[in-house]
This record gives sequence, C-alpha cells and structure tokens, in this order.
Amino acid sequence: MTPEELTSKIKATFAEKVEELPAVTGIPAFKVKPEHLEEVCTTLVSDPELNFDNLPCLGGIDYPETNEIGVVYCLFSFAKRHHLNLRVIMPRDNPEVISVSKFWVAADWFERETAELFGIKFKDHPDPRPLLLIEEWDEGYPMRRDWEGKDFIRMPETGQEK
Amino acid sequence: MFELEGIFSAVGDFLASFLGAPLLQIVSIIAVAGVVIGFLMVLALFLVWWERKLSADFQVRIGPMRTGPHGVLQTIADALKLLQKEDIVPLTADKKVFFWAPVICFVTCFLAYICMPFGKGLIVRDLNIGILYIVAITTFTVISLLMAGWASNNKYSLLGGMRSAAQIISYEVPLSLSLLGAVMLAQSLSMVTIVQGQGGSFLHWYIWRQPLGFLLYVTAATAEVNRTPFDIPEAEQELVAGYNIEYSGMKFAMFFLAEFINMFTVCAIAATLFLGGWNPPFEFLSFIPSWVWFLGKSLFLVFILMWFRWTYPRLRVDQLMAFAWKFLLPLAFLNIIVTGFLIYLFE
Amino acid sequence: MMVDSPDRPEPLTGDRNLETEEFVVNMGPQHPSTHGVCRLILTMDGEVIKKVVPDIGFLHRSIEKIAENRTYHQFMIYTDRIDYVSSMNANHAWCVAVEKLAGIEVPERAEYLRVIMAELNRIASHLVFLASFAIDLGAVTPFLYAFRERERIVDLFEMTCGQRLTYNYMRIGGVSKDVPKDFVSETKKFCSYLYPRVDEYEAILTENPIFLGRTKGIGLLDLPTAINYSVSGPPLRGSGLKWDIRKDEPYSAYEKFDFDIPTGENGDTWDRYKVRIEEMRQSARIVEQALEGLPEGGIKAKVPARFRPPQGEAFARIEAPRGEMAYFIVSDGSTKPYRVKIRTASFCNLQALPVMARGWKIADIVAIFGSLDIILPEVDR
Repeated sequence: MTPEELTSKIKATFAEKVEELPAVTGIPAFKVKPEHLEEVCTTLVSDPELNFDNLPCLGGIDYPETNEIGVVYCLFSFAKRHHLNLRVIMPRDNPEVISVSKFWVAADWFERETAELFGIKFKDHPDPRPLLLIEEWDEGYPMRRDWEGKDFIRMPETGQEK
Repeated sequence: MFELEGIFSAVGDFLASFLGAPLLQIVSIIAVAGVVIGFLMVLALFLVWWERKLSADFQVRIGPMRTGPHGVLQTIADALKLLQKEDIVPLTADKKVFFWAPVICFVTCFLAYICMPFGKGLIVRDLNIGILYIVAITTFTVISLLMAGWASNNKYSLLGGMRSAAQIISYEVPLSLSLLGAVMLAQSLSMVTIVQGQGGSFLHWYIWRQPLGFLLYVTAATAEVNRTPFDIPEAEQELVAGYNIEYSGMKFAMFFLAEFINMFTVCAIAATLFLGGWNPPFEFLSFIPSWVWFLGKSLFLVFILMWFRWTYPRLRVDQLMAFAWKFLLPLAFLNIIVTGFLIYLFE
Repeated sequence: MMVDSPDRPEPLTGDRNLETEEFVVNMGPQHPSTHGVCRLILTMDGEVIKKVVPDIGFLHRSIEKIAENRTYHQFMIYTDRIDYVSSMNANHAWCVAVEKLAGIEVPERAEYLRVIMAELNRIASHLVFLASFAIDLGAVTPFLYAFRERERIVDLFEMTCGQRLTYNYMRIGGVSKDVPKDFVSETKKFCSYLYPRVDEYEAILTENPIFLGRTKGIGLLDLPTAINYSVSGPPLRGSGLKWDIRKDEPYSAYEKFDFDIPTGENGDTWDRYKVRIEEMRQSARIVEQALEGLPEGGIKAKVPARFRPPQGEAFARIEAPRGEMAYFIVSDGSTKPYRVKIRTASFCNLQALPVMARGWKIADIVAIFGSLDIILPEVDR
C-alpha cells in the first residue's frame, strides 16, 4: 500500500482511536492512546490488508517540557511492504502501557531496554528483568532528558557563543 | 657405527665388568628407563615445536622464531615458564584425585614404550603379548582424564571428562580390532615378531595386505589421542579446555606433554604393525640405521595427524559415537573376517 | 564458572542412579566462542540444551544518550564504535538518516564511493564471520586465510582514510576525502583476487562432510518466526525470504547496480553460512560495477559546520552486513539530535537464539551462535 492509502485506511479503520501526526520521512505516523494500543495492534496484525508482521524498531522518547513520555513503534509489513509509525504518549509520572510482545516477539528485548532506560512500565511483559544496565543500578532512568548522572556532563549547544 | 644396539651393549659390558649380577640388574633397569624417558621428553618437546611450526606453515604464518634458530628452543622456554607457574588447586576440587590425575596420565604414557621396538634389538622387553600390553596400557589415559574432569569440580571439565571416557572407550573397540588383522598375519602378539614378519622389501609391509585395517587404525587412533576432528573432550570452542580447564603450571604441562607422547605412541604402533617398523623399504638401504627408519615412519604418521588437525572442523559428540559404532566397528569386523578367510585360503 | 551452589552434590545412591539431573552451565562472559562479552546461561540435560537465556549489557555505553549530547557531525565517530567490524556501514546508516532528515542531496561521486566502501566493508565483515565460524566448528586454519584477505581490504581503507578499524570516513552530505590515485586499480585487482579465494573457502569448508554434518539441518529458523523476531540480514535470507534493503528500498546508489540476493531454503546454519559466502561474490560484483561507473565531480554537499536540520523526525534503514541497521532521529532544530534510537541487527538476531538453540547439543549452540554473526557492541550499544 502506498503511504496515502495506508493513512486513509488506518483513519477509516480506527476512527477516533488514532490521531494523525506529521509523517516521518514519508512514513505515516499516528498517535494512539495507551488504552487503545492493544486493540489497534490486534487489528494491525490480523487485518489482511494491513498485515503488519514485523517490528523493526521500538524505542522510548521523553518530553520533559510537556511532562509527557512516549513509546515509538516502527512497524513494517513484509507481506504488503509498507511502513507505519505508531506512538503512545503518556504522562511522565507513572507511565504504563501494554506490552506488544504478544504481537511481535521482537518487542520483548526492546521493551525491556525501554523500561529500564526510560522508566516506562510494560504491562503483561513476559520477562520484565533489566536488560542492559548492571544489576545494582540505582541512578534512575538514564535516557530521560533531565537525567543527571555522576559523570554525565551536558555539552553546551555549539554555535550559541556567536 | 650408527646402530645404537652396539653402543648399548658396550655400555652394558662395561657396567658388567665391575658390577655384580643383582646390582647390574637394578642399574641397567634405571639406565634404560632413564634413556627411554629422556628420549621421549625430548621427542615431546620437539613435537610441540613441530606442531607449532607446521600449523604456522598451513596458516601462512612463520610461527615461533625468537627463541633459538627458528624457535627450536620455544617449547623448552614454555616448559620452564610452566614450571615456575603457581600451582592452583580449586577450592572445591577433590584434592587427591586432582593431584593424581596428571601423574597417572604422565606415567602411563611412558609405559607403552616397554615393548616398543625402536630398532633392531632396541627394545626394552620383548613381551610375547606385546601389542596386547600396549593396547591395554594406553587405555589408562581415560582414567586420568576422567579423574581430572571429575576432580576439578567444574562443569566444563566434567563434560570434558565424560566425553573423553565415552570417546576413548568407544574407539578402543575398533582400534583393537583393526590391529587384529596384522596380528593374524604375523601369527604373533610380539612386536619384534611382527616387525620381523615384514622384513625384506616394502612390499612385505602389512599395509598392503591390511589397507583397510591401516585406515581404520589411523582413524580410531586419531580419536584415541583426542586430536581434531575428534578432539571433543577438550573442544576449545565448546568446553573452553575440557578436562584440563582447572589445571595450571606443571600439572597442565604433564597433560600437555602426555598428549604429544600419546600421539607418538599410536603412530609408532601404526608404523610397527603396518609400515614395517624399523625395516628399511629396500634391502640396499639397510646401511641406514634401523632406528632412523622407525623414527621416520612414526614421525611421518605424526605429520599426517597434525595435518588432519589443521585442516578439519570438529565432529559433534553424537556424530562421533555414531561414526565409531555404526561405521568403524562393522568395517573392523569385516576386515577381520576377510583377513581370516584369505589366510585360510592361501596358507 | 559454577552458577549454582559450589557444594559438592550428595553422592548418588539407590534409585537416583537412573535419574538425570538438569544442570546450569554459565557460558561466558569470558568464553572463546561468545564472540565478545556475552553470557549465555544454558540449562542442560547432559549434552542437550533445554534452555538458553542470553545475558547482555556488558558493553553498554549508552551511545543513544551520547548522541543527544553531541552534534550531528560529532556523532559520526560513535557510529564507528557501534559495529567496529563494519564501521563503514554504520557510518553510512547515520549519513542516510541525517540526510533524509535534512533533505540533503549527496553528489553522485560521493554516493558511489560510499557504495564501494560499504561493499568492501561487507566483504571484510563476512570474512571475519567466515573466520570465526570456522573456528567455532574447530577448524582453525580458515581463520588465518580469511584474515589474510581482510588485510587487503583494510589496506585499501587505510589508503583512503588512514584508518584500519574505525574509519570515520563518511560525512553528512558526502565523504571526507576522495580516494587516492591508484585506489581504483588496486581495488579492481583485489576483486579479481577475491573470487578464486572464495572458491577456495568453499572447497575447504562447503564440501567438507564434517562441516556439512555440523551445519546442515542445525539450528532451524523458520520464516514466520524469523519475521516475528525481527531477524534480518543473512539469517532472514537464509530462512528463505528474498529481501534485501539495498534492492527493495534502495538507498545511496544501489538501484544503479546489478546484483543478486542469495537466499537459503531451510533456514539452518548452513544456509546462513552459504548466504554470506554468496554475498561476498555479489558485493565484489557491486564494487566492480561502481568502480567502472565511478563518476567525476564533487564528493561532499555543502553542510555547515553548525548544522541544524529542520525540526522533524526521520527513520532510515540500511542493509548492514549483519542485517538491518536503522536510525530513528528526532530533531528539535538544534545542532544536537533530540533523540536517536539505534536499531541494530545483532540485537534482534541474538534474541532469536533461544528458539534456534533449544534441543540441540552444546556443540551446536556454538555453531548456531556463530552463524548469527553477532557483534556484541552492536547488541549492547
């Protein structure tokens, strides 16, 4: 499906459950509320026209200014050869979203990584142990924008001295 | 003048001239043991160096070059280094078994040379059950490997020990059976008789009458001494070092040197039983001392084993077992039956 | 190396003689065949593997966090360190993503040079795979042969950018410098030298019965599982999918070159090996074509030193030797990226290891792990 067809198809299928975002370099992007994610993903996988069988990438994103935190899902369909960019935006205080590893097993490690680096809780995750950080890590969630670590020095914005 | 037999008998006569008979017995036993062990130690050091040089050749490298000309002293330097190393015993190891495993391994690998015909008249004791004795004594290695694997209390070494036990016991069967053909031809278990049976030209060597037996023996022997493609007990990529993973210093060196001496042992047996032992290939070449022929043939087979090692990947443990029981063993039986039938037919 | 209690177990008595007991073996982080610092916790019944749990993160440097703290230009050297065996490709992925984000037109000569470098690096990377895979199976000698060939590629890179491992050759909008005078002839010489060498490896490994016995039918990965696990690159093609981003979503100048996508049939260890061997030939073909058609012209688009891409997001992926390497960049219009998510092939491929290894022997897990061609810095980032 071309990106335009995909956009209209998704708008038609999910109606008010999704909210269109500016496209990511040609890839249609949509915002989904956390409570709708499971339903949307079920349709995305099972609908024969959409058929998103592959999850190439999943990552967190932090917006401290608006006190929001999100998860970005990059989806792809080998059967239909189209991309989709989904994201879930949650309040930053206690972010919680359903785990999509039952749809794409690849999400398992991506979610473990995102959980420990961003502090996002993935409900019903099959194996919610930390993945990358050391076991005794207690310095918070390092990938959040406002994280302050012992040895972490924020570089000044170059070009501002001028 | 290069025949060592004369030198040894001269030394013996010299000793006999001033020593009494009982004392002479003891002194000569010690002297012979010293000579054999000394020779084997030097040989093992040489083999280690040779293997490194050969592997370097196969791999477009030059290998050790720094210690002595072309690195000939490299293994001596390595052995000296290992001697100085701390002897680490794991806390949870079975201390006694841990200590005795390399000792047994090291001692038994020398015992086979009691009835190994190095040259014409150069044999410590010509036992009338020579080959049986050798096959029996070389099997002792498995006990030491199993002891080492168990005593280290390490899962990798335990796996290695178990693997070596399974492997050596399995390959012992086709190995012994493949030797039987040559024994049947010589009508004797004595090593000297077997060698004498192959005198004359190289056409009398048993390899021509026992080609299958020879191939079976070399294959089984490669497994018997844990060389690639059958080196699963110490498979580096799987078990890190297998049974000797916890060994360090001199104990490790003992395992290491024993491995090379064992390799020479199986090659010497093959040279004796199939390649005519110390017999020269042609009568007119008999001016070359017999021990040179023996060494040359054995080292040639050692070279073949080394060649295997640097060419082949490794088999998996179940493939290895299947190969021994489903392929080598039936062929070994077939070899014996055909040999027996042909002997009956022609004699 | 003991994972459970170091105490000696009770001696076996009575009926327990016939019982087998599962035990846990800790493979790594320091182990000859984990290709870096990866720890595999194996639950085994004798030699048979019941369960594999990979434990990663020993090399985690939080490169994604560093990216937020560096300018787009500065981050280039960090991409080298994500995958040091094929850093040209890692460079390339970053360039493609940033250029997509900012809409930069790259001169054609630069695109050709990138393709040449990326493909040479792919050959070098597959040679390293071949070397370590052969060692994993116990054949030591091919290691040295493969490294001898890789040495020539590394020499070519050194000739071009002065580096032998972390090249840092590409730049946003082009490449850092043009190739030297005799690079083209030397690379042509190398390509014609490579084909017979690859045949030689096939002779020493592909037709070896022991090698076949160790790889054929081992570590099966069927296609739906591979896709669901986001497995990419040679393991995915080994499972039978004709999918290559260079062909299906062409970036750089790949649509101008003629090459085949090798695929396997069964998704076993042998297929993954064979795909890589064939890819070396195809890469050499691409390099030859690119050298033949290398256009004249500039090598770098004008990109300011204080480069500020427009606000927005970009997702770009390329076909790295180990599989799909993707960057998801969020820009807030400053000189530094707001968020960079790096998707690496090894991370997803390693995740599929437990499915592939279950039920095989400990010797097989080494072969399966080797056939995935994991680079640990890429897993941990």
